[in-house]
Amino acid sequence: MTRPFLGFGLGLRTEHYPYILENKPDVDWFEILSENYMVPGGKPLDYLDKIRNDYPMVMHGVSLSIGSTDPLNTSYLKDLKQLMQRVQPEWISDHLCWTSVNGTNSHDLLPLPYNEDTITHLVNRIHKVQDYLGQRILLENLSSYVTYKNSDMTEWEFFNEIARRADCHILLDINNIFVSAHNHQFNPVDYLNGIDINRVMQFHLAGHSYHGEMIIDTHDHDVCDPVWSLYATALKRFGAVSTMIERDDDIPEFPQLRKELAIAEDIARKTLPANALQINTSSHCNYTDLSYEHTA
Amino acid sequence: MNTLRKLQYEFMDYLRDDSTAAIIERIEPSLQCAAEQRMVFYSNAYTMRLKEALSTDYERLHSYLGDELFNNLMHNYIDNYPSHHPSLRYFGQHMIELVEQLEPFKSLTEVGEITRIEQAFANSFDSADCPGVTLNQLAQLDTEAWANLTLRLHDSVQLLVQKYNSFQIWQALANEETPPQKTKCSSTWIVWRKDMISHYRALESAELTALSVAMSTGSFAEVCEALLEHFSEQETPLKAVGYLQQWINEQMVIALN
Repeated sequence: MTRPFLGFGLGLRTEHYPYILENKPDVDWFEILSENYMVPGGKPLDYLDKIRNDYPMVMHGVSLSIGSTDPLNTSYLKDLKQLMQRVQPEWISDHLCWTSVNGTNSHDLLPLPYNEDTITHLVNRIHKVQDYLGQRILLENLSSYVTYKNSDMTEWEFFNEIARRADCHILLDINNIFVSAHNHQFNPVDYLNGIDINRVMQFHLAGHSYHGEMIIDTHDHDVCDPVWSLYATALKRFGAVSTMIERDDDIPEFPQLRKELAIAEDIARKTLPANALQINTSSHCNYTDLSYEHTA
Repeated sequence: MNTLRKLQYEFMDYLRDDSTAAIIERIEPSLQCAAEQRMVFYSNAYTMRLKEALSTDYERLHSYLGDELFNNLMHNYIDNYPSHHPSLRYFGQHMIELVEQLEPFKSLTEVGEITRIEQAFANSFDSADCPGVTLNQLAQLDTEAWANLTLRLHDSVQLLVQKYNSFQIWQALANEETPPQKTKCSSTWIVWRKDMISHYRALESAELTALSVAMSTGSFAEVCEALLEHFSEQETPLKAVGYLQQWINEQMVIALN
């Protein structure tokens, strides 16, 4: 399959707005946090429009709550669709998790039990979301700190089955695989090997912190060497996948973050042939795989 | 209630009150870490994230109250106002309700006033975009249009009635200076957004009268009528037009009908 390849991107953060507008740095694309721009107007949308003029973007959400047992939040979906129409992103993503129940938001990405009942529940909701948005979405694997007694399969089996049945794409967070592998004592390479190559559309990279025996996904450090190594392994398995670094705390100056992104580019260049790393966006290659028609 | 829903209720109950232990029974323990220890990461993150949102939204209020009182306020808020919006941007929007009913904040009038100031700036920051009317558009109005002229103000325009010198306290805190002692001092301020930047200024009583009418009915004739309290019949039309021109220059007016 021809997967669109956006190249190497960064998470768009308010701290970097002036630098980006003034310097137009050499970054292939930006990922925005959708909820930050689901506001009526003002500076957030003004900056967004200006930066969008110069860069391709993807939208990444944290509040879809696709795994919740509450009804889908139609008001949220309406705002999301409105933002999509404004941004015209290459694609949109959220997380394989739940964030709210009984109308209360946790503002955290909470894990689900991995079993057939949850799969059925999620597949039904993903179809509804994709029907409403008119395109496939990407779902991302979490960092998690607990597993449930009523899980009866691995996370990657669960994830693959959902992606297959819901006909959605996968955003593979390499750091999250590393964190969860440590916290739940599995081999991260087994995770990579268990994921369907054709479903993966994007990689996330990020830093984390150790808290005693556990690793927490804090996004407040540089990407560490074992995660870079896992990234190289992922490239070997999946080929060229649009890659970005997320940084949400202790955010460095833009040039420093850009240098960190250059490490990802360097690893990709050493791992993959040059022709595999040519930018190949949906608009450039008439790629239509994101269009979606659910007929079930 | 199905199993997944029950699990989610129990998880959320735990986040909101970690003495509720039903969810612990559902968590797989490990050699590394007991189920309780694992769940603590989630309850800590829940509280920390909500506190961070409140600290960002009410930065000057935090400075004014100090860490201990503000922490007390935040915990009360988190306990009593769970988030019902997908975005943290709106989590703190009910803060004024708590401040006006919870001691010692309830007795400290300036605390409520500072809270309203911070909310007004947050509201003006991302209120809907709408291009302002220009003086040229005003000049092009037909003479007969003035009799039934109505104006619409931008969503960011907000009036703040103060009984204390709360705006001066807020200004000092915003400039990281020692705030003045609180003193009784009646005033009304306006907060609005111009060129993507929030602005504020104090209002004199005549302009307050005019602006209050403009915000409630939008009728320019009623603005003029209300201004008769402050000016003679001869002065009033010129004063009213003067205010309108000023509001247009300040990008507060988005429609003239």
